[in-house]
Amino acid sequence: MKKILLFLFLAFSAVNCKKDWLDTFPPDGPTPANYYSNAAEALAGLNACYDNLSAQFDRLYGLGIDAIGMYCGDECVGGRTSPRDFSSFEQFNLNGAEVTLQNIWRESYTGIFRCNQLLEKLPDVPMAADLKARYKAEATFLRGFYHFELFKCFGGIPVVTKVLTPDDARVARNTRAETIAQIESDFKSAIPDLPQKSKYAANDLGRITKGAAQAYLMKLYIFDKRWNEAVAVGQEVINSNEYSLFADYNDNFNTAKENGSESIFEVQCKTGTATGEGNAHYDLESFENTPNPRGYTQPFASLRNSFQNNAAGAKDPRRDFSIKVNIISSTLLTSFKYNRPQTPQPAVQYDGELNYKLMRYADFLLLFAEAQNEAGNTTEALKYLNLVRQRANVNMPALNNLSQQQFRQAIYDERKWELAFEGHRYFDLVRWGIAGAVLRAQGRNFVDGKHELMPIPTNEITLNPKLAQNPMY
Amino acid sequence: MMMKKHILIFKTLLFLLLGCQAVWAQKITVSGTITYRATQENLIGVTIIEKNTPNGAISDATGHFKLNVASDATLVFSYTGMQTQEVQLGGRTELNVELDDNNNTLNQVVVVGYGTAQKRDISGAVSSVGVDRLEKRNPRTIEEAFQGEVSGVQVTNAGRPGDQATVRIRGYGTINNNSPLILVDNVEIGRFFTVDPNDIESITVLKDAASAAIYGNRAANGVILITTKKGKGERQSLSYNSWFGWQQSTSKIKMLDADQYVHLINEAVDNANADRLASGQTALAHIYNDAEVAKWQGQKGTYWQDKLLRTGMMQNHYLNLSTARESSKYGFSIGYTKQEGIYIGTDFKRLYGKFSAEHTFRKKLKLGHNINLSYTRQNTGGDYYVSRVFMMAPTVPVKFEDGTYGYDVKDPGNGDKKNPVAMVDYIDWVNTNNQAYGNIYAEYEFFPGLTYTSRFNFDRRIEEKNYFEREYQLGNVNQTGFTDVADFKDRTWNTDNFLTFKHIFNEKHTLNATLGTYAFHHFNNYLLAKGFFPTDVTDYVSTLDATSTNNRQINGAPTEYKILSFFGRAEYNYNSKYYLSATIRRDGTSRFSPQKRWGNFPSVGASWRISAEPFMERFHNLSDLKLRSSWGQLGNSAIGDYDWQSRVTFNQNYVFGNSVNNGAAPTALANRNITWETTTQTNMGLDIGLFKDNLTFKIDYYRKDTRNMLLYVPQPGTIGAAGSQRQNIGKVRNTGWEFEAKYNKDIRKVFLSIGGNIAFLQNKVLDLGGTSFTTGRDGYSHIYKEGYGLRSLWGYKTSGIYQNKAQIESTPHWPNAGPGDLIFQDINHDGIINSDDRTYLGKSIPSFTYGANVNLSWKGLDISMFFQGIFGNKILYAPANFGGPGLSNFLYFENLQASALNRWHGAGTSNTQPRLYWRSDPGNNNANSNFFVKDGSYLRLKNLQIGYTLPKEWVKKAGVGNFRVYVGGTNLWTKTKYPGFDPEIAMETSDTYGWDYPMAKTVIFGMNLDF
Repeated sequence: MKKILLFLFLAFSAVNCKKDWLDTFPPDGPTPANYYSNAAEALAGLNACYDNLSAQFDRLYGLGIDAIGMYCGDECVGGRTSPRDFSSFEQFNLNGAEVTLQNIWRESYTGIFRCNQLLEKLPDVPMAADLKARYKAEATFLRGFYHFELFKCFGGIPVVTKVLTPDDARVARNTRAETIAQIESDFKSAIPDLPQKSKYAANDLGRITKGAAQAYLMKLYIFDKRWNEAVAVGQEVINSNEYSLFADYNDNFNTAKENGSESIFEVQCKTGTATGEGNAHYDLESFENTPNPRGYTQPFASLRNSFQNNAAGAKDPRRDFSIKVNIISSTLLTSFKYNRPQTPQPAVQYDGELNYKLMRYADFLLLFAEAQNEAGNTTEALKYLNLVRQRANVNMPALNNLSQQQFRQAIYDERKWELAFEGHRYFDLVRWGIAGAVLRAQGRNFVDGKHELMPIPTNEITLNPKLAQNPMY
Repeated sequence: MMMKKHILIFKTLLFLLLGCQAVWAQKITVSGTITYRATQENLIGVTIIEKNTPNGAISDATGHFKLNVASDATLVFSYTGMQTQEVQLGGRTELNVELDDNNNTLNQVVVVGYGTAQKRDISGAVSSVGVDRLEKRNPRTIEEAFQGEVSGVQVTNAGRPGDQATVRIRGYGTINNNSPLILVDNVEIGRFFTVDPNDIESITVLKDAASAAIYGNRAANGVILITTKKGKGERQSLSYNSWFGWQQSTSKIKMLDADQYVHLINEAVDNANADRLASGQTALAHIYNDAEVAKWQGQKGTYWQDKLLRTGMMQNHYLNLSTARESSKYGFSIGYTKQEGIYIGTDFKRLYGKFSAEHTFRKKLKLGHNINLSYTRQNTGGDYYVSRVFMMAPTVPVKFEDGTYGYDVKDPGNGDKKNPVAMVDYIDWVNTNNQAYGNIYAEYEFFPGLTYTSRFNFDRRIEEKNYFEREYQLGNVNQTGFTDVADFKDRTWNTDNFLTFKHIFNEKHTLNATLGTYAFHHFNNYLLAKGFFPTDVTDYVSTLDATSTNNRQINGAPTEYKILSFFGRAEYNYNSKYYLSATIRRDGTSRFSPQKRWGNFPSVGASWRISAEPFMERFHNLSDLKLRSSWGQLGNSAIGDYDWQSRVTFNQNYVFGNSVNNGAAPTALANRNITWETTTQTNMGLDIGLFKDNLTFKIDYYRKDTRNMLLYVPQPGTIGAAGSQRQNIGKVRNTGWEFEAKYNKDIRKVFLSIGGNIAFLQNKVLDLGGTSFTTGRDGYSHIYKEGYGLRSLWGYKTSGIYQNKAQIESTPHWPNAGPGDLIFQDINHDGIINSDDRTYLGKSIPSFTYGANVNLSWKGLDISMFFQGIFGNKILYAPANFGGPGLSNFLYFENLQASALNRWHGAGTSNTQPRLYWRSDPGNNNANSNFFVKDGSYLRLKNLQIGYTLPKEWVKKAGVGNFRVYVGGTNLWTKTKYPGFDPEIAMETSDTYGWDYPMAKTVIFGMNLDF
């Protein structure tokens, strides 16, 4: 019997030599409890907050919010099923089951979570105070920014300012005013600690700047029709002298001029990376000269025909800078911004090199001009509108002596011409209150009181019954 | 034991009786030894009779016999529980005979968990398949070897050679992994295609908790034990099995020909134009203009299935050598398989070898090993996109007249519809699997009855993926050449150490006890690299080094998984009449937090052999009647290795200053509280044997409740991070009846054996924490919901087709529906059609599965037939997300199934098949609905084999002991209503909704040669 016990003992001890033999740890990452322990880890945490600003396919700006801005507007439609069918958006035949809406919702809240995670950890990270202040400001701005993007699509949304757990994640929507207040507060608290664009090192280009944060605060005020506040903060951006328009409109879509003088905020894209940092828009604009070409983003002829003549008597050059005509069939059009002859061809699909523009100075100037006009300063406003019109290689005639209402129409048109396919149109039309009239004139099923907002993703309502659906969906 | 003694006495009497009469039969004296083939034990008391005479003898205590017979006599060897064998003497004076099990004998020894047991003594729900059945089936995979043979086991084969089948025992216990634990020689090898099925000696299926409990933590879905052929017996034997044959698709699908296609695609444009004109838009041009339509008039075009599906050749060779010397036994097996798939470019090769040895030292110590080596190589067939078989338009040629590969000139930029023949040419995708597994073991007998066994099992596997796609242009699709190579490396070891004690007290009390430990360690690592070639390269320089560095991608991550267990089992029986058993296993796993990782899994069983009671003696024909019952709990932890631990994931990167900066963030919602998913199973069974067990029945009823399922519970998006968290939630119940029957009959030299089984199954989700969730096509075609079976079909109900506008206006409808669209039912009667009208459309789990085999043998001829089927399941047949054959809006200019000819095209033309519509779906016809739900029931002749064993005297001269030739076939005949390629589609994995690799019907010619 002794022998048996010895055998058994040996057998047991062979596997039981350590008490914690069963402990295994994930080899590919530490746990949140022990991460964020130094400046480098805090920086990695901060970089991850930017990661959700992606123009890869199916991410926030790779047929996400950008698609709604384009295809729900009056400038173009998404042509083909592949990579995704947007006909329900074009026709306002959509419901909360749309994958795109789900993507926008998830991607934005993941960004918000990452910001909150970092903001909760940051106070305890041993690092230089000024750098910590900047990191905090960047994360705070981004948290506001993701909320803003959600707000544009869905209206009042659940405001999340801390790391949630499955136990407390089922929260109701905040009101429109509460949502705006939170975004405003995040933007405002970020601005003081953010450096101006010129103060960032070259290898930090792409981070949020003081000017960009102020510009977005102005945009928020404009969405909330707080014109005087918008003018005040916008004036600070102009006074900073950090930004100017490119002489050549095309430089905005030139890889050599990324983050240039006209750039306020752009999604930083790069082709050929292992983790996928490219811009899907390259492939949305690919175009072959065949009977059934596959340009995805297809402008309406009405947009192309709307361009006017410039001071030299030629067509507004922005028409051909933005729209490409098929050689075989002149009725076939495709957008022409992120896939130009000089844009490097990516090796894989949806992996373009060119940064996706979120806000450039021309956009800012038109917003500022609009705010000035609404604040009653139409003359002052004209100055900024003409700045955009009279860009060297655009050379449109200056406008003068417009009434406030005439100026509004001028802004409606100018934003269409200047910013075609840059993801603003639908949100502009809704903001101006003319979406119904414009879109119905095109035969689209836009219903007033309903289609100003996207439906909350059905799946989210199922998972969180406290979420109320938008009206009429 | 008593029974056996009686038999012996009876047979001895018979011997004396017959022996007296043998005096006058002179001629020659024949002698020899009779052994039991499976164990090579000498058989005592075998009756030997000279055919058509009363002359006979009985084998003695050493299995020897001696008999005077005519020199040309035929001797008949018979023994209870064994197959009767006839041998023509042909002048021999020495004759050694091996007897085989009669299939339904209760004395058959069956491999069970940590030991073996006689079938008669098993109290759980255990079924087994022996080598005799396997030879008649000629399975090409391990899974095919038990498909339909065992009640309650559902096997769904994969069509492509080298792919795994799906195996389910007693239904679907959980939303998680439902795969049973399958051990080959005690090793969980994971990849069954690596084993040559010829090498299987036996298969045992442990279905209920009591039988499987000793495997505790991974046994919740049942256990399948497979043993391979080992060295045995006292003499050398060599056998060689070989077959060759071919395989073809079980069916082909009728598609539109070119003439029909051009008309229908133009009709779709016409239908769209009607709406466009009505809303003030311009009309679209026909896709095929009048000249082109005229050109295709009466033309068939390309029938892509003929270009892509072929007759695949197959061959298999298998050699087994068994040899023994004094106290050592050796086994040697080697197998080679080559199969061409039925889809062009697919094939599969396997080289398999096994070496086993067992040595006995001073009758106390046994040392042995089994080493299995396997190499497989699978060619996947281009980028393996079977759906293109349907998608390619019949107007597209395989090659243009200039010899270049064809593409659709109407849609030249479509990268989703590349010419599949070209893809097979341009893409080289090879998967190889290199595996070495086996065990080294020692057994020490302290004294008769008490044995200590120590086994060290190991498995080392390296799976390599080599993908090479060359640069090409098809239409306007430009592909940069690239290569994608991956190594998946698995290293597993586990060790079993256990004591077994067996003792019979006072002749009537039998006690069996086992006590042991188990430890398991699995380590997995992978390395994946991908790169693009700067210029076109040939396959000679298709290495990663030739790729450009700036696009290279490298990934890899190791994972680790451990289990530690203690187990004990006690079995007691009184006089083979009353049986009691109890098992307990305690398992710990690294997959749960230290506070939650241990679980105890107990089970108990009891059975009563009623037929052994004195009051049953008057039922002479009732040879066996046994009532079985068991209850037990088993665990399941088939989840990710680190789900309980929260972690920060790297590579959440972003670009600053045009270079990538590292980002890191938590991406998963961990849950430290997750613990064992537990299955509680109750089993009641009845075994009946009639007419000396020539007719047997086995009936089982079970109830299997799975609680605390380890589900990914979706979380609101507002939480950020990953969308879901592992939680223990819910309860699923499977209840079922299982019947097995076998009948053997010897009718005037014709030996008949009939077997059948049927298993009824009911599966229901009882609790899901009040939630429900959907998956599948468009995210909602299948539902997990309380009160319904797992993965039930879900969607809209439709009833016919709108014939006119008035009909649409009079009922709730989709806003843009027009005549020719499906009529959707307003299930909740709220006056509108929306997602609230989705409802239950049928179950995806069969109501019952069944199998039946008929075996006939007469002289040297044998015929074996095997039918198998399932009934009552529904399949979502909606090839691809946008519609596919039979219902399409030509988004891909794709071809349609010929059923599209029945489409609606004007009032009264169809009430079943909706109208065609160019590139849009105003009536939502493509929404998941009963339109796509098809009956998945089928019955098929799974196997047919006709063999002939050449008379011994013919082959003896060549030194051959046994020579059998046969012709066989699988899937030769199928009855089904399913409109796709094949109804045998794996339930959980059929996300292609009908675009699976087609099943094959095979015909083979083979031979078995024994020396």
